[in-house]
Amino acid sequence: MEKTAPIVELSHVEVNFKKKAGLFKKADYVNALHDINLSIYPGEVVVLVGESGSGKTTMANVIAGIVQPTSGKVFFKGTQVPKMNQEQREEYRSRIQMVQQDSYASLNPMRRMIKTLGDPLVIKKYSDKKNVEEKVSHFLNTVELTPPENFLQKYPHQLSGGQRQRMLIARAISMNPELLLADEPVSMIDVSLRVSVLNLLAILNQRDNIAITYITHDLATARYVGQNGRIAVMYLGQIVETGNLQEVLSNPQHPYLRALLAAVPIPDPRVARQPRETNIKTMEEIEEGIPHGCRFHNRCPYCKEICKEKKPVMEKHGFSMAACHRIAELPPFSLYQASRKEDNHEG
Amino acid sequence: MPPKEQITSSMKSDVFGEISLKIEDLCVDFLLSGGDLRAVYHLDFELPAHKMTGLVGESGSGKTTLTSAILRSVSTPGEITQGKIFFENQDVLKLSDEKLRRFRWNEIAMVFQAAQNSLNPSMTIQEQFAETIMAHRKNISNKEMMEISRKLLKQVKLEPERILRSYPHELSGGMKQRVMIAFAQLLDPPVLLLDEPTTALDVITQDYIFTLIKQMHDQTHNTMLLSTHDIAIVARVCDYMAVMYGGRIVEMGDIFTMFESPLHPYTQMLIKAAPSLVGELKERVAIPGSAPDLMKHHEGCIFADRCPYCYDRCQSEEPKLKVVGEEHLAACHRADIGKEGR
Repeated sequence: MEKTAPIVELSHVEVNFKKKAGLFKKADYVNALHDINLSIYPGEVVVLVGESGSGKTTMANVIAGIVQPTSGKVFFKGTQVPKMNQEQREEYRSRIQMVQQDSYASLNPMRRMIKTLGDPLVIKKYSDKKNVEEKVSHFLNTVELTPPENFLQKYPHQLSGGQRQRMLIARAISMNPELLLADEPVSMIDVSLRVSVLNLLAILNQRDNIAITYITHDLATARYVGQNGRIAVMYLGQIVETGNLQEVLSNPQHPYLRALLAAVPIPDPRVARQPRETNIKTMEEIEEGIPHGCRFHNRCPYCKEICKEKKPVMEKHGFSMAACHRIAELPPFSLYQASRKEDNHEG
Repeated sequence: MPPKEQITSSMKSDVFGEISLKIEDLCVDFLLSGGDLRAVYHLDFELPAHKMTGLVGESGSGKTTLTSAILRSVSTPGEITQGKIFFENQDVLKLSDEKLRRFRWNEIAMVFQAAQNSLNPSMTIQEQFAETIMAHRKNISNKEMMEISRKLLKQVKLEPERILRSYPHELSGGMKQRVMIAFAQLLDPPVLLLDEPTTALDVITQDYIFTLIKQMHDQTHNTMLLSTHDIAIVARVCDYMAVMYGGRIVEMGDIFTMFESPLHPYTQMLIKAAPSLVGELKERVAIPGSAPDLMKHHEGCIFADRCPYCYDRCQSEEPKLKVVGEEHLAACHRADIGKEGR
């Protein structure tokens, strides 16, 4: 991988959210992110995967500067975020753009698309008032909303879910970003259209060299955006495994990732009906709060004494970096076992 | 009310053998200010008995409207304007109010989409269970009631003692969903409708819930109709799959037939569009175009404007659902070509 300077760098980031004090309760803290180290390089795809409550959205908010870390540092192009001057801050705000999950809630219902997309261009002086329509049309073409004239005068409610999602992407790329933070961008659109939006993100990445951070709970879609990128698997505010996406998914190390992979249904009855080992506990079966030692130990089928006492550190295992005491002793894992058997059978 | 055991489902179908429900020419209209929207369009459907059938469709295809029509509980301004729904040779749409009240939950129960909103926040689970049982069975003893509740909660792997005493807000999303599954089986109904039972739940919780549902089905052999937008889930648990598009059922058949030799272009494309953890990435293609506008009148096939195999007949004549193979129905003029491989 090219070792140019990262766009964003998170170093030992820790985020605690304050829980309000109740009548009989003292104010408390919820640890949302713990000791996060992550660098995002230009033109790179990083997929953040985790269940709800794993801290993936908080991480996006920290990267975008919406949430300030409790401790630790966030760097944008080498400068620490709170120490930026006006000019750097403006650059930071423009070069990192978000594509939100709920396209209906994130577009102003009272504004036509030309206003929604055009105003930021004028304000940021990317375009003058005269040429704004032409400029907006260009971005609509990029996100395959063609012909653009059909969309310029529309209100959000006149568009379908897939079209609104494309509008969000158009709005984000109009600021000439270096990094797109896409937080579950396809979870609310129809299955038949998902692949096309995912492909659009992949095209923006490959053709325009925009780095993409794709945040999702759905490993199946992660493959489409992140084919050539990296993956970071999150659990209870920590990164538990990271590495090249293809390698990590075909060779998962951490028991949590293995459980996640085994739980994803496969759209093929012959594969999906194969008996699988699902021995992980669900979130409801364990006590609330963050456990001592390895944060995953109370759900882990391979838990030993050491896991309850000592926090595992990230170490190199196979193709990934993973944090688990027991990796060396884990049985081999193969998600594709079932499908491969089928292939042999036919061939 | 006669004891359950005496009722036998005696309905037969030419295609699927023994069936639990038979829907004929059903229309559900939503009377809106901008015009009428026909969410379920002249729909024919047979639900195979003792099997799990997956009802697949994208948002707006009419899955929820169809399932709620079966219980005659379409939300306003929706209205069942035409058709028949047979359950044990009786038309559900002709039941008197009192009979309908007894029919619901007793014969057909439903697990709703958002479990969070289906429970009464101001009553404990036990009170809600008791209320439902007593509404249908006057002479039941307290002890018997508790026994049923405990048994059902154990079946969905919840601790009965703790759960029965809890209020809904004390339970997590996955737990509430499991309580709802137990709830639906309180009166031991022969038919269970599950409407997107795992939306908004985590993958691992979702997997767990489907393992439970599958186990339950293997024990009771109840008839189940699972509506979902995720064909991967259907592939995992269902015996049959029915595909809905624009308020119509466009194809239905045995799960392996549907995935391995689907004949309707929409089914073929839907399977190709589903992101998957296995297989080549390039094989996955989105369906061009967007969902049909149901406010408009469609001459011919509803899928025609997105279909790559469309020809003149598709534009003018509406295809009817017809038998295309063993336990296999499709509504497509060009289904024959599909067999030879398009």
